Amino acid sequence: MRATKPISAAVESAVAGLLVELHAKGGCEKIGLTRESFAAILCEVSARYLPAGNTEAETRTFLLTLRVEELALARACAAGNNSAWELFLTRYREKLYQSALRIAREDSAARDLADSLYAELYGTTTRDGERISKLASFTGRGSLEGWLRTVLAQEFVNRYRRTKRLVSLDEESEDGAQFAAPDPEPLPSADSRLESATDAALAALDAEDRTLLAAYYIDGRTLAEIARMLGVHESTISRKVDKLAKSLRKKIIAGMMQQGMARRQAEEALEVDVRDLQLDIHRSLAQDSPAATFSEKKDELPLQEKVAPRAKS
Amino acid sequence: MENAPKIVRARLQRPAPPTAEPHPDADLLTAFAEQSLSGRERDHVLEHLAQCGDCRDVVALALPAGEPVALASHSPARTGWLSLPVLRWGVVAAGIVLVTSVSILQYRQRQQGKTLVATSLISHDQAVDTAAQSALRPPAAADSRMVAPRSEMQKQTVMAKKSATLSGLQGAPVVNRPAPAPATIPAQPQPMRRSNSAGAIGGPIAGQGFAPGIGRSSTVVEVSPQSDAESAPPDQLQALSKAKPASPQASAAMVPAPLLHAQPTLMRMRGLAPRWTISANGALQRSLDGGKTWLDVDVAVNDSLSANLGPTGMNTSVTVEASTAALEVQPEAQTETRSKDKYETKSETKSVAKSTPRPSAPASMKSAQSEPAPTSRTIFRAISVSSNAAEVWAGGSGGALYHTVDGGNLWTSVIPSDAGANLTGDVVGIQFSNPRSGIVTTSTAEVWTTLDAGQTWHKQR
Repeated sequence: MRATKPISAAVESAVAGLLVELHAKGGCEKIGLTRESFAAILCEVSARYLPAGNTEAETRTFLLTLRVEELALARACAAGNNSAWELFLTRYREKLYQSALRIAREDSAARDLADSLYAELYGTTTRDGERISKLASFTGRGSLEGWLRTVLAQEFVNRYRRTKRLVSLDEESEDGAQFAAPDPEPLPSADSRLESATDAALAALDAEDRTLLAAYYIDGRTLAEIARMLGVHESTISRKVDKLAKSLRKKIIAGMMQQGMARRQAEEALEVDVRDLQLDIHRSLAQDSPAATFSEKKDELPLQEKVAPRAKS
Repeated sequence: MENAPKIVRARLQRPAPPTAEPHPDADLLTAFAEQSLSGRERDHVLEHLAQCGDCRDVVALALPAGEPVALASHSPARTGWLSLPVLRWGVVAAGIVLVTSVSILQYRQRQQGKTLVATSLISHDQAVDTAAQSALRPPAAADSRMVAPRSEMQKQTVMAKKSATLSGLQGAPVVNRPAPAPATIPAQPQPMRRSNSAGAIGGPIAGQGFAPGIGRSSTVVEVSPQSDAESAPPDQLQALSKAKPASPQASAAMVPAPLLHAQPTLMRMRGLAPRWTISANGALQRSLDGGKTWLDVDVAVNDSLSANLGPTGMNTSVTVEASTAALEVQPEAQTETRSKDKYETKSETKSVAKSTPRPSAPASMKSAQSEPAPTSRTIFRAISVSSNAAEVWAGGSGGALYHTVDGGNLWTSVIPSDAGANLTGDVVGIQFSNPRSGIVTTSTAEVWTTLDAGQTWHKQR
């Protein structure tokens, strides 16, 4: 694997300090990973995630968070070690197929998904004569099993949610981007004061809150799912959603009033926009749908606009 | 449930600006989903997730089926969430009264030298008590009242509080009840296999003494309102609010309450893996029904029969009585002091009536005497849960660090020690990337690492 970032002295020395332990812990011997190669792997992973100025102590701490056994296994597989591959199959092959089924929910799609990932993991594609295995990109930040699920999910989303993919997963993965960028869809103009008040209110929220709102209102995720995604109580999510909805409403109205609107006006703008924006939501949601569906919706729009003229204030 | 204004939904969907966070790689998304990311990195991923529906979908799709989500060990429980002020103060007031009543009672009892048999129940309200700590002292008047519980909730609260007291009595106010320890219950389930310290020799709890149905360390009366109040059923909440002014109800804790049974069976009944959390008040909680109900877990309780009697031959036993009358505390227990001690053996367990009195903790290993159980209840701040949720590390105030491998029934107290130096401060972060290797960080900026599941530790700095 080629290092994408230069390895700092702190990283090298941290790796050197922990190498023996981690090499042993990772069970590297029996899967054919020498200390040198494992050291190189650890350096690569550290350099990839740690900011440049990290101290040796911080690097050591980081290294200790890695799942070295799984990292060693994955990288040994990627390097072509047969016993590593057998071990991998024993532990993960079944899970791969089960996870694919859970994600795709349908037998043939699941099998297809799993088979294609399996091939990528094994490394059937070659670049410059070398077999490239997807396992070479595993860095041990999370569990290998979880990583397999994530990769399956990414592939699934790529395949079945979009009809157009601008770039293949492999090509994008080097840049860290896994999907084509969503087509920017200009939303129909709402009252600009309403929009800016809404944007300001949303921007004031922290990332977790915005993610929660997006998952709930846009993706339609259940509270339980969101709770699991974020690692909190379901009841916490429930309260949070309520609280956020209420406070957003207040903030947006306050924001509009700050821009010179009277309260009544602001409330009306919010309400009126609510009705009209049904369309916007469909259009926005349609971004993720196959293009065909999207164009159907587009035709509906003008008619609706005539029917429900927006009340500008 | 209130809906967000639709404009919100529309604006949330605006395409991300070009300078937005790039798609996190599969490793980062996995680490995020497994709660292994901290602070800055986690925020970056969240910032991206807030704008990228595809990546949100990936995270959701990649969730393991039916497995609990482990809380991030690096961040203290999300305590910033809304909590009804009225309820919070009601809970605090109730807690204050309870604490005071309990401590007075304990004092009296200590004088009489009675023994107590405690169950391993922990009151959810202990968390409240802890919260109450920071509040002003309640009027002394309230405490001595022992009022029969009026409402169901109160009764249960009482029951819970009682158990708490029972289990927590050590001569210190319940609030400060050391986590590991009810005087009556040997604390640490297993010996600590640590490099130096003796660790707890948790005497095993004599199985025979147990009343059926008791015995699970984390059994709790289900009822007690969640520490963050809101999730309690409305009637409980109201009762709790009512408890606010009056507070005498709280002191009803003194009233002997029927023990909880059921819970142990409940625990086994469900096929779901346990889910773990730390409540807003620092109580370690577990749900065995997929998150619908949460019970406090008392790491002090250890129902291991085997335990390691070890060379010390220590055997403490706990007998749980279904209707233990009042709180009886063993005198010795009260002398226990806070835990920086190496062993957290819970020493004695005096039993009432049926149980056979046991010798105090032994000492073989280290030490000595009855293990001074920490006098203050541990406020948990960090937790790390394995993927199957059966193995959990939990840590908190006063260097408390506990480990279970069986879903929370048996706990081992772990005191990291390296070349004679012990872990100091509060444990604020625990990260175990696999069962063997982990990092524990403390409020005193110490970083402790282990590569052998806690048997030996290395202090990084």
